[in-house]
Amino acid sequence: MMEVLVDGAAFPVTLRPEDPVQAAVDAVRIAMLARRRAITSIVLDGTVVPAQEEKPFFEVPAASRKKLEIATEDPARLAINVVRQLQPFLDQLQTAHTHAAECLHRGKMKEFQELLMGCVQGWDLLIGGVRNLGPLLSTVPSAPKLPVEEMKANVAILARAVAGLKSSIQTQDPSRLADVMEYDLAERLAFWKKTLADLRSALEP
Amino acid sequence: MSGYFAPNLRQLAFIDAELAERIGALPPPTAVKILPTRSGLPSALAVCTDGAEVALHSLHDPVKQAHRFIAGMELRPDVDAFAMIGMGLGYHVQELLRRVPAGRHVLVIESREDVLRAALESRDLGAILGRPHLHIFAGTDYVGFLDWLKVFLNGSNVDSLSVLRHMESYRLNPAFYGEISLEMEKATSRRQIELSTLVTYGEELETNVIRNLPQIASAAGVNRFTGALKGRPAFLIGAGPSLTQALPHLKRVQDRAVLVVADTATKLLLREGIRPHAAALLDMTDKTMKFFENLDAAEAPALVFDPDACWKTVHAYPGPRITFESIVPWTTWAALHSSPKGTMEKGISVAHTGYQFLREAGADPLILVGIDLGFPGDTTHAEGVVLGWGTGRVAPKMQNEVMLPSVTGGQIRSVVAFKTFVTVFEILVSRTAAKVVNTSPGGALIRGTENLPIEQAIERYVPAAEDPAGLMKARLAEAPPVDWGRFRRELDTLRGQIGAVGELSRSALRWLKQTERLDPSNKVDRAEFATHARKINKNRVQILAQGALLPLLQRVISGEALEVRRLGKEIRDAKDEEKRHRLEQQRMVYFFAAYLKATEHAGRELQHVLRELPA
Repeated sequence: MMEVLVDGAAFPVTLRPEDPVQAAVDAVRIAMLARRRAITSIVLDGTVVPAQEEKPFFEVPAASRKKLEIATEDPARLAINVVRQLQPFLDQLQTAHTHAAECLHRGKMKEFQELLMGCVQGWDLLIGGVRNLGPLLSTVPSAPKLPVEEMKANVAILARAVAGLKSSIQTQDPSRLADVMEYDLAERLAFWKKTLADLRSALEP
Repeated sequence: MSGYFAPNLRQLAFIDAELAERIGALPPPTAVKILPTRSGLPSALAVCTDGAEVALHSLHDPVKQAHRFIAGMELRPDVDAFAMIGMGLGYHVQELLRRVPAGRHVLVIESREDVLRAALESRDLGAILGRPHLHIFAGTDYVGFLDWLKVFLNGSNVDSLSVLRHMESYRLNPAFYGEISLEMEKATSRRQIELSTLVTYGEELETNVIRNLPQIASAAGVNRFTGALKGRPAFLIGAGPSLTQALPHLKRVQDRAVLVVADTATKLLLREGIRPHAAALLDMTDKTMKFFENLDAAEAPALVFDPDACWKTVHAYPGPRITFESIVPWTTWAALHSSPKGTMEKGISVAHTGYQFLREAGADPLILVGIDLGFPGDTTHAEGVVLGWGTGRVAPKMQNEVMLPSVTGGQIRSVVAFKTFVTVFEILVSRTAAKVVNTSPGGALIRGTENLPIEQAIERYVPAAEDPAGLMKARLAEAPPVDWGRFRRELDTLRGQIGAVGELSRSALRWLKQTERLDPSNKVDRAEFATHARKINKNRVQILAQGALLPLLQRVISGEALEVRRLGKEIRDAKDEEKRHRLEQQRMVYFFAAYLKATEHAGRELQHVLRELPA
């Protein structure tokens, strides 16, 4: 029978021979929710299960596997870690925007294109990180209420700025392109910086 | 309208009055929108040729943007002039002016006159327009631009020009800006070539014009022909491959229109039984003698010769001569002491010389024949012409080969020199009131001309019988005779004045040599140096006081003049006093050595002329 360990300790779970691994994972999730713990990693027979590709790992019968190891973390701590990682990343993104605008002003198009790609990826990561924070914070009783409406409005403005970016590229309008990078997106970054700073000070003991 | 417009326009008028008048007469711009920015300064949106609306500057902080733009440019201190493609509202121009070293020329080219108007309306441009050595061109007149650039280069000491592009402005008119950028990048190197040509051939050209003085004096001036062909068709005949097919047609019209032929094709026409009424001569070398060798005086057309053309060819020519006053000062001198000849621009090819003669005569239309300026087949010239260059065959790969737009709508193989000829023709055509018809069936396209097969051109434009030969003869007969006694006396006086400048130069060089062995740290030597310096400066002042004489000498000393100019720039940039002093001395040596060389050369040639003058 498959052994289930949570944070290194054996976790009692009763499984029928035909039950898939998913059944064990669900049992742990329910228990962790009650204990207000967040799952941070899952390892099946020594293989780390990627967060976005769990299905093929969990569909197999539990009887065919030996060991399921699940690590958990205090969600507040986890949220603080996420915020801590995002904050310097925002500063880097801000620098990249300014640098990209400078490249445009100086006619260094190749360098600009590389920076632009980096900035777009950076925004994807930022939005992804912020999205993950939502469910995490819902399990933390002491967590402050997120300014959800303001965040939504900001995402909408960001979408408009990105559309402006695309249109400036299409019409070959370097001044407006540089303005979007240096000013419009910078304002969005300022909002996220403030939101994350507020969150961190509320979460940190 | 803002309060900026009137004072800005007044300042623009100091730079270019005609441009200020043009911009002042424009209606307020509709395709340019001025917008306030967060920095408090205005920015602008302009509609491009493709309909897109783009920002000319940052809509947040145009000054910061301009600062970065110019900071990213390499503004080399050894460059004499900087050309900015695009003015916009001028933020980057202002920053450029702040950054370029003093004394450098700054050229600004703005293709959109409405943008320039918007700039004048929206900002105080005093810091830009009040800057010395600022030159502004506005509009999309390519030929006008070439002219403007030429005037600038001729009127300045610019040897190097750096072209900078304002991306936002470039976006508004990429085709025009692309074309003029290339032109500017080539212009200074072309000017260098012109100068080095002058350095190499200056003496030969000067010998030609001096030895031609009696022929200039006795020739009929082009002014005798001003308007003589008004409203009458005339043919300008080049030696291009298509001339072969045109010969039968020319034979048909020789009594109905004036024919002016390029030197190389003269004998071919005569052999074919075609009597041209004039032949043009420009080339300075004696290879031109073969173009007219064994020409019978009775059949020789009038020779329209450039005063710099080979003197041996001009002297040996058996027929009547026509000439003109050009920028070469000797031509003015000859006209002054004989009779006015009328001025004409120097051509860069013999066809241009012929063209300008016919334009002066008022021919309309002016029909170009055999001016292919490219190689539609495998021959470079018409069959049977006396070759001035090459072997007559088109090589598989030619040196300096280029492709040019053809009259057929495609491209034609050509060479760089012909490309320049096309450009000059286009400039001339744009300044010709008469219609210009190009009959080349497959040659290079000359914009501004009507392309027509020669048969159709004759049918349409050469209908009536004329007496072109009689007309030419009558005008030639009107040339006033020369008072050779007076001419000789004036030449003699001139030779004496030139000799005096030579003497001043010689003695100054002697004193300069003596100062070389003096030790500036020795008190006695310093006193002697001061005495020599006074005498040297006195000679220099005396030479420079010969205002009217000096231009006659300057072409021979182009090399030294370039050296004096180079030293001038070095002196300007020299940091320490000792170096400046040494360079100044070197400059003085070049100055006097140059005038000594020029006076000796002119004196020698004038001696020949005086010996050969009619009694």
